[in-house]
Amino acid sequence: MKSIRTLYYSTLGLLGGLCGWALMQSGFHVFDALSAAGIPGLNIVWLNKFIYEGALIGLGLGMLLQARVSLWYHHDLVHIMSKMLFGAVVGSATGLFCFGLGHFMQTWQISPILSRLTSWTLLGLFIVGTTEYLRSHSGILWPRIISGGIGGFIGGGIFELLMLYQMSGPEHLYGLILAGFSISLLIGLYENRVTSFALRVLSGKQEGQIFLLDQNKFSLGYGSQNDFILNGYAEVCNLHAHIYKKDDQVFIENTDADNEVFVNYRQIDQQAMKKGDVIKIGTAQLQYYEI
Amino acid sequence: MFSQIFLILRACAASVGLIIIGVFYSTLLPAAEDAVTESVLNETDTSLSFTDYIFPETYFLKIGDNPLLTFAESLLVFAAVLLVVYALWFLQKPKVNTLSGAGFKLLNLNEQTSFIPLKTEVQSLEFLAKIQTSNKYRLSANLNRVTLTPHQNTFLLEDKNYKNALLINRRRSHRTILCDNDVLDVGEMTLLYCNNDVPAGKIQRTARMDYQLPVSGVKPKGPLQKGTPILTPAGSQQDIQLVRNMNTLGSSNFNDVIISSDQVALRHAKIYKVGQSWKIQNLLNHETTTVNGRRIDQRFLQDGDEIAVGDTSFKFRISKVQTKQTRRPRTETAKKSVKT
Repeated sequence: MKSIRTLYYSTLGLLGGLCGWALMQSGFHVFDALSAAGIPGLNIVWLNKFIYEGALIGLGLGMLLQARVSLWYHHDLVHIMSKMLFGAVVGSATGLFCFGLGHFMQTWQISPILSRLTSWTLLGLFIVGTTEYLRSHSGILWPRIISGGIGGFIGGGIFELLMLYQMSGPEHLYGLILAGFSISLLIGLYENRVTSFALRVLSGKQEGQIFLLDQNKFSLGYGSQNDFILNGYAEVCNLHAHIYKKDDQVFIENTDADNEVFVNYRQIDQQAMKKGDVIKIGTAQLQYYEI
Repeated sequence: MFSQIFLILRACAASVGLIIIGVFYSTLLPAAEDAVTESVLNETDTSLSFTDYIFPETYFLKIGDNPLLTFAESLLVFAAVLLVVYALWFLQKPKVNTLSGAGFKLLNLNEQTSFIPLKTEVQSLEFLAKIQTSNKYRLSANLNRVTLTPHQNTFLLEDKNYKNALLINRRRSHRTILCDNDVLDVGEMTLLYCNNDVPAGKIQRTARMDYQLPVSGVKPKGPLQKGTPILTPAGSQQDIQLVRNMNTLGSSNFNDVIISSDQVALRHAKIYKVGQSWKIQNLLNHETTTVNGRRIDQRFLQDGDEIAVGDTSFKFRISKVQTKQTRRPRTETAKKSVKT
């Protein structure tokens, strides 16, 4: 399961790179058309191709990286689309910011290689950082951001090497793809390293779904803001339960007195879970595993 | 100190203002600069705008020089990427196997043999030892003393040798009627009982609700046994048979007896078997359940009691005769097993 997930994430990274490349190709045509049209107000938007390209890379990567968890857990398509839209906006903003900084470094007479590396590293840091910061209850914030930054640094390094040896293929396609790959691979590797527990859905619509516990804290419920979404079950609340790790033990906690959470068919408020426990939330049955 | 800060702030404000002016009137500035340069210096290239001083045009990837794809092609690549993402999403969809009939699912991790179908005959749990599994599980030695007997739509699990470590829904039990989604622990094996014929939460509501009381329950397919409790809503001829050992009453769809009323909670009360008699329990402190006009928390039920759940009242009866077979002819073995 872990290795499949790593593979899944790295595939997403490859796709993100390809997506960024396709966007850049189309973005140039847009750029061309707009500058030919000569609309005066748009001058500021296209003020610099370096930053513009950065924004497009950020858009492509951010779109897929933000949606990676929802894609893996097979959430509803509407939910994934909203995540992707959000990721696209955030990613392009981060791209603008990071590559803008890199550009400023260039104007301060710092070598272009160094400034490009910095831009990539910052992009890795911020794309992961925004995801994790917005899901503020994840609990493992800094290690993830740092792993994203390392991924960005490695990606930028690969990119520069390919540029150096003139191996960047059709218009930097390989460089972009490999940079996206390394960012998401690093994130996936870190998240899988900390995963040692999982929940499996036993019955109903989502039967066979496995939720990997790769954070310190999770929310479980019906609503779309949760980490684990139980869709298609009766009597599951919007925010039904919290799951958190503490001292190498995993606890489940009922969020509200009106809800019912059963562990091994006994109603509980808060309890440490053991291997093989059966959790009942509404009409959904889950089993707890240690991998 | 203060004057210095003030000066810095003023400088900042002035520069911000300049940037704003440069940004929004960048097209106007070249004209102004033209005038300035022509009149004063007459030497620089006049095409430079204000923003060009801040952001001299540099290329990062130089894709702008010669784009490989046309606009339509690049959009196609983008769409293809989205399609592959959709394919990945679709692959991740958990597979639901819709097998008919009753059976066990092995819940231990890393097991691939998902469904073990059960035959409708008296059998012992010995077959568990013969299943192909990836790991070896320790099972208790005398599983031949644990029998599964067909009982209405489901099975009756009986442990005739009380020494087996058999847990049903994580509780010791010697005699249980299995319901859908019951978890069974046999030694190291964990099994989930699935009955796709009567799945939990798919209780058939009566088709014509308009002239019947809004109460519905399970419609068992098999014959009615002696001793099965029957609920009759007041003022109706409808009989609701309680076929399980524990029956819940409430307004949620997942109860055994569904009462569509505002005065009834989602899961209001339960009627369950204690030895040979039946007991009713109120499940919520702030809701009322009455037996013979008296509000109760829990109470043993007698034949002919009047139960009221919220604003709906029932008459509780225990059937004294075994009704005839209605559907599905049963085998000889099954008939024998019911009598034993």
